[in-house]
Amino acid sequence: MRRLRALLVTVLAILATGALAQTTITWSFWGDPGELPPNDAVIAAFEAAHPDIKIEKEHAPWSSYFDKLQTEMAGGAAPDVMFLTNVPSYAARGVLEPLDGLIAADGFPVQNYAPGSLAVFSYDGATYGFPRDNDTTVLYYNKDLFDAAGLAYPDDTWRWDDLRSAALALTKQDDRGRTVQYGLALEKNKYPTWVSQGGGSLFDDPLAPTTFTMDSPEAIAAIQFVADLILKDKSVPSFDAMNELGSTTELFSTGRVAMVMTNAARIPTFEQASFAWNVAPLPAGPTGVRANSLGGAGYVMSSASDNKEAAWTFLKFVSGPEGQAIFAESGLAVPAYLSPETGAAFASAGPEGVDRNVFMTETANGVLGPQFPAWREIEQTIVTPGLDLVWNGEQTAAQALAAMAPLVNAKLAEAAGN
Amino acid sequence: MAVSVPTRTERQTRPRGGALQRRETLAAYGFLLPNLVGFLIFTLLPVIAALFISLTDWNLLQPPKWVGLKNFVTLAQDPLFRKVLGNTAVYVLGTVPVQMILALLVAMALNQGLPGTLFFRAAFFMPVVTSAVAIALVWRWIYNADFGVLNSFLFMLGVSDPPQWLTSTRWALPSVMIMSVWQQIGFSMVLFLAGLQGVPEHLYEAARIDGAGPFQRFLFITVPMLTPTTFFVFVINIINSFQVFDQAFIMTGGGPANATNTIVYNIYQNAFQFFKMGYAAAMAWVLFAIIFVVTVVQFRLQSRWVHYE
Repeated sequence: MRRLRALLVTVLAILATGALAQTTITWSFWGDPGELPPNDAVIAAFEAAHPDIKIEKEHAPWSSYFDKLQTEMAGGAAPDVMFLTNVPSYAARGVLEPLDGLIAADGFPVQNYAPGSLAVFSYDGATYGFPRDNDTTVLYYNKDLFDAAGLAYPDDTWRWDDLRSAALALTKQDDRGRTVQYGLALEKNKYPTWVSQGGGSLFDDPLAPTTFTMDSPEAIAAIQFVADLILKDKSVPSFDAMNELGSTTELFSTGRVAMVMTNAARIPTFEQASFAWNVAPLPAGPTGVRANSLGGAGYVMSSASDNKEAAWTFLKFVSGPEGQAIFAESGLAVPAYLSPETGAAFASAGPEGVDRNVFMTETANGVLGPQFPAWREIEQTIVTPGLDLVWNGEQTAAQALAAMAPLVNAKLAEAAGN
Repeated sequence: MAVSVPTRTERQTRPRGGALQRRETLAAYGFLLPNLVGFLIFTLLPVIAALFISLTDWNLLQPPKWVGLKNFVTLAQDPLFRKVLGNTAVYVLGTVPVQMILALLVAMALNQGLPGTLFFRAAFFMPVVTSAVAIALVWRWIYNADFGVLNSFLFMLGVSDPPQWLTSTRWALPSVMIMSVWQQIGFSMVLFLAGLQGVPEHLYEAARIDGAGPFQRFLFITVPMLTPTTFFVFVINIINSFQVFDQAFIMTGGGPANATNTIVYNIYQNAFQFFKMGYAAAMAWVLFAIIFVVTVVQFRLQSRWVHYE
């Protein structure tokens, strides 16, 4: 009797699993452990709404994420839905699923993404993904250091000159001429924003470039302005010294620098700081041009997925209003999907006294950076090495950019010929 | 050596075959098998595959496209490749001789049987077994232009404008080379020490009786007796130096302005950052050819200066 009952239970169990035939899809993303909670919240909300689909998360730190993904892609075993940057370079290699047909069939509201932000996810006229957030940079400032120096806080009237004089006033040196407190710290890879604020550009077209335009007088002046802050004013630590001194995050949270330009992901770290701080818009260029970074990482689907229907269902959820509201609420990322709900969720994420609306207004100033398959190689072998010579003072911006232009243009021609 | 090696004629006239001999040959191959299989799978096949890949365009994800010798033609005209070749040559020519001379001096000092020998031997060998990442990070601090130990020291000595070690194109490569010499001395030192201890004491005694001074004893006994060791150390160091990678990868990222970019770092960039596997494989083959030729030349010249007892 007992044996019979056991058998019955087993049979029922097998039947039950069959009836609830679940599709499992994998979702990969990177991030610090502190960034896990909103991702887990998205999974929980999705599985509650779609009991027939199970999400298996594949989480890795930024440093090893892309190597792992490369290996999986090469083996045809890429996760169904992936968090990714540099989307065109992957799309060009055929590993991503074009989404335009699915978008049209479902009427997915792509118009709600920040203007231009979808361009980062397109290649050859097709759409391959949706942004999760915008990598908006703002000016964080240490109120205590401004008060001590008797300076007015940064606001939306600031231009480069205001930034420069404030940074200089907030820089302190010891008797040997070594800086013990910097006015401002910058991130090396944000040079395109400076060029935009100065009224210049990197290429004639960021998506399908034919000419390198960073040798224009406007772009040269912008690069020279940053170099002068580092080399002449010494109010900004050199990018190389920051390897030892610490990143913008570490320098600011330890009170060794009065202002930094960085993104919203730093807020939780700065919340631990022992001083008062707030955020302000990036200063405008000399002629009043405002610019910020446009685009951020986003979600894509693998072209090798065995469950494209389920993957699309999840992709819509995580990139659309539901998923975006969860991420916005965490306050770590500026939402790319602009709806009243995501905006309100982000603005109210805290901490108190921090003007989060600055992130939303600055996102509207986003300028699209270069996005084409050969860009990574061009940047790493020509542009970054060329700028190194400006940052260390061996060349002026005019010399370095003039030398770079023919090399970059040759690479563009070579890439176009392939 | 007292072991007699059978001459050619002996081997040919020895009765061949026999069940015992066949069994022994089989057993020998059996023992060699694990190593042979490993060599075949993890060395020979990849090397041959790399030759094939070097004749294609391959981004890792789509099937390779056959392009013949295009990668090699592009390579010949690539200004960056010329630059990394030059950097690597400077690195090899600069570090290997300096490192070997210093290692020999240290080995001779440690061979005197003075007190503290054990400590210093361990101290000099320490960098060899220390993680390359840890070494590079500490040396970055030493070299830091504003806050580093080195420039603080130079400042105390009255140098008002000390070099920007790792950030200037003039000093970056020498800085990396200085660190490498320090890091690798221990390896050569241990080999030289073993070589020195193998020099029979009676030779020195005989020389002393003949009235040879310390310098003459060094020149006419130590140097010739050490040539087999020197040859080995030289070959290994040259090969290792051509493959320099860690320093560029961890310390400088190849910068500033590619001043410390090396052949292997450039191969890494092309293969795993720009996904140009074919191009990277072509570079790897050029590097292989360079090392091969240099090593063959070294072995050819061996008979002119290496004395085997």
